[in-house]
Amino acid sequence: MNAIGKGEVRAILRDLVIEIKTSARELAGDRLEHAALTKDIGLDSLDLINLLFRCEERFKCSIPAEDVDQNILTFGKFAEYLEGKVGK
Amino acid sequence: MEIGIRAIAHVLPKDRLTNAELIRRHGFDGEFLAQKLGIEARCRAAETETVSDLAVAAGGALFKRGLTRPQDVGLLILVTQTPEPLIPHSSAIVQARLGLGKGTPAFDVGLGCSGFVYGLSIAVSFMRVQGITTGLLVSAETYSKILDPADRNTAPLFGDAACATLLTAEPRYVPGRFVFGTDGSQHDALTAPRAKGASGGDPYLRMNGRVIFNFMMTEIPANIESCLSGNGVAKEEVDLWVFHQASRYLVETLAARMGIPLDKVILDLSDVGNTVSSTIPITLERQVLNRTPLPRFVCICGFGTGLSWASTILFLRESGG
Repeated sequence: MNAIGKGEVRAILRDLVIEIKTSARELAGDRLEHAALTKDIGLDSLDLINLLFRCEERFKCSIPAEDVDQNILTFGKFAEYLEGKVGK
Repeated sequence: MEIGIRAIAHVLPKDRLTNAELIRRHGFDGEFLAQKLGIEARCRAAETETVSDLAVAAGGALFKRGLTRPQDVGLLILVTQTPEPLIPHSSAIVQARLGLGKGTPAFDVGLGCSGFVYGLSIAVSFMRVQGITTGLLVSAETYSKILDPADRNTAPLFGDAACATLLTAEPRYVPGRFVFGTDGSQHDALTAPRAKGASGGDPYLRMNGRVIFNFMMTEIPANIESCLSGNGVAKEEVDLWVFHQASRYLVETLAARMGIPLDKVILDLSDVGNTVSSTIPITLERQVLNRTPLPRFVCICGFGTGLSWASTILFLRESGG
């Protein structure tokens, strides 16, 4: 049902983040992996809402509110969470 | 008989809550307020100032233009969600204070940010069926009275205001077909659970920003597409887009999602905030009706608590130009 493979999640997530915050383009590798979405990448509350919406749409999954605080602290943790959702 | 918008007048309470004040009192991020929300100040009604006071002031401002007189008004509709008192309906109070005739039907419409578009549809339909040639559609809110001053989701967003729209048989703009929507399954996304002054429970307006954002990005593009096709207007033909002024970020994100160039999308909330059902008519008054030449096709779309949404196209008419 879901055409996105696990290995593609990080690249897609990175593109989505950059669409919302172009300065994130400068982050790559470990720096991106450990970057806090708010403090390091600079997403504010509205950007995060937008990112969650776009992820739900792109990955065709639901991200419940109770999952948000624990799983979207850093880019890497959020990517792992989404990989679990995509599940392939 | 064609009925449509002839003129609009708005009033704002004197007090302003500025970004500097929000930063000082509650530690809000100034850049977020100015750049993301697009708001520098929001209007605050005085403690004793009610929706009826604002509505009467807006109606009075409209009569001062000399386009109509109170005794000529054949319909009054007041869009509000913060009536004081709760009973009777505030439009009755406004009818008397504006000096409208006893034969004037006057009633409230209890809708929020979609209220102007719904109210316009109701008014125009009512007037056509009843043969009424002059009507007043007034929107007025004092949301500030139900805001938690420290709530980051709502306190910096909403402002108080009232707007009076004169509808006549000699209009400048005539609305086309309306397209409506409601999703009551998400009614708790923007809610004030109890009446002002009642005891128990949360007395404040609460908003789930994520649900509202998702709703906007999924329902509104489809609604607008239906509106365009229902009115036989292509997206590229629309001269101006007047969305409910929820916040700068939401309006610009919605426009980008729909592929609408930003130079056709009006933003007008910096000095007033999100004034609920008055954002569209205030924007029409300040940014559309004063243009030369007037734009031919203007798409208006309101959306918010309910969840509720509606849109239509305003078509320019030579008669009132």
